[in-house]
Amino acid sequence: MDSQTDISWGYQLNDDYEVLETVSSITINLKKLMKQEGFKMFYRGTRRDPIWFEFNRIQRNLDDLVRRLDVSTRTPFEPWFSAARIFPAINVTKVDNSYVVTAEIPGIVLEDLEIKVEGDTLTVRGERKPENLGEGVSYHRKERVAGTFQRSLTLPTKVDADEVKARYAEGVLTITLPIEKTGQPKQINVTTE
Amino acid sequence: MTDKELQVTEKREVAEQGGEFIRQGVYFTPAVDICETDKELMIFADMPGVKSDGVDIEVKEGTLSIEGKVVDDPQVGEPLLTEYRKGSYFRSFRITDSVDSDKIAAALANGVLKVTLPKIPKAVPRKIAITTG
Repeated sequence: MDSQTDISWGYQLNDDYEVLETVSSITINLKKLMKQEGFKMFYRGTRRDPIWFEFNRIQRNLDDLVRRLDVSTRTPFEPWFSAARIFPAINVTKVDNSYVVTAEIPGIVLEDLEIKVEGDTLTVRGERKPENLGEGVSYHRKERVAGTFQRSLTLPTKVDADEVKARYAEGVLTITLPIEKTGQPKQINVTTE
Repeated sequence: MTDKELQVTEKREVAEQGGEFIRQGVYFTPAVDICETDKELMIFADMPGVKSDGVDIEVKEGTLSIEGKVVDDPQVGEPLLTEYRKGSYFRSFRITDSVDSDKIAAALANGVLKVTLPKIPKAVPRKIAITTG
């Protein structure tokens, strides 16, 4: 019987499409395995046999994985795989000769925000304080979180620390970092003698 | 103060949460806090990137919908790292009759939309004094 037992564990957790593909192929392969004649007997009868412990464990982990990837069962704000992700999420673009870093950080006061630039590293640090509502308030739903955050980012080239501009508007922090002039490649003119 | 570290949460799109959602563009569900005091209900919604004229609040048939439009600035430059997506926000809530729909107020500051829904006087809890004797 041609059993396909090629299970690969080397999937990238960051790329959800890749994981889904790998998971579905593993599930299909396992199901094919279970369906085959010889295994059917074992599946129904002796599932508790130690030989199946590993298989059961794999099945449980895969079910768990698939369930976590299934978007319809997740609450709106559960982080992926419960792993700590660095806050805030940033987008970096290169515009002309500067890097523009944007981050969405609603609800902070400027005193609680600290931005440092050193060489080619940008560090953003701050604290988001919870709303001060006083006594006699009951919460029906609380999805917005408060806390501290710190994030360092290394840029591809050195930036001119004196010319960095930062702007916080509508809850979006935009930092413009011009690339250091000397870091740019210089064109060398070739003279012919 | 809390020493809790903030964590990144993926933005959830409205359309994938079931039900009909017909609007152009990408819409996310904003995080909200709903609090209640004796006199009013308050809704705080995180809507970064929304300007005051992009907010649209509507009360219809007992449903309060808040919508924050984010203007998509044209793509300039070359993206090096994209960790979050940009899009508008939408969320709707069912409100009961105890809310005075005419007096609903809203304010937008630092990307946080605060909607205040005063309760009708009848719904404000009254303390009843007990007389003895």
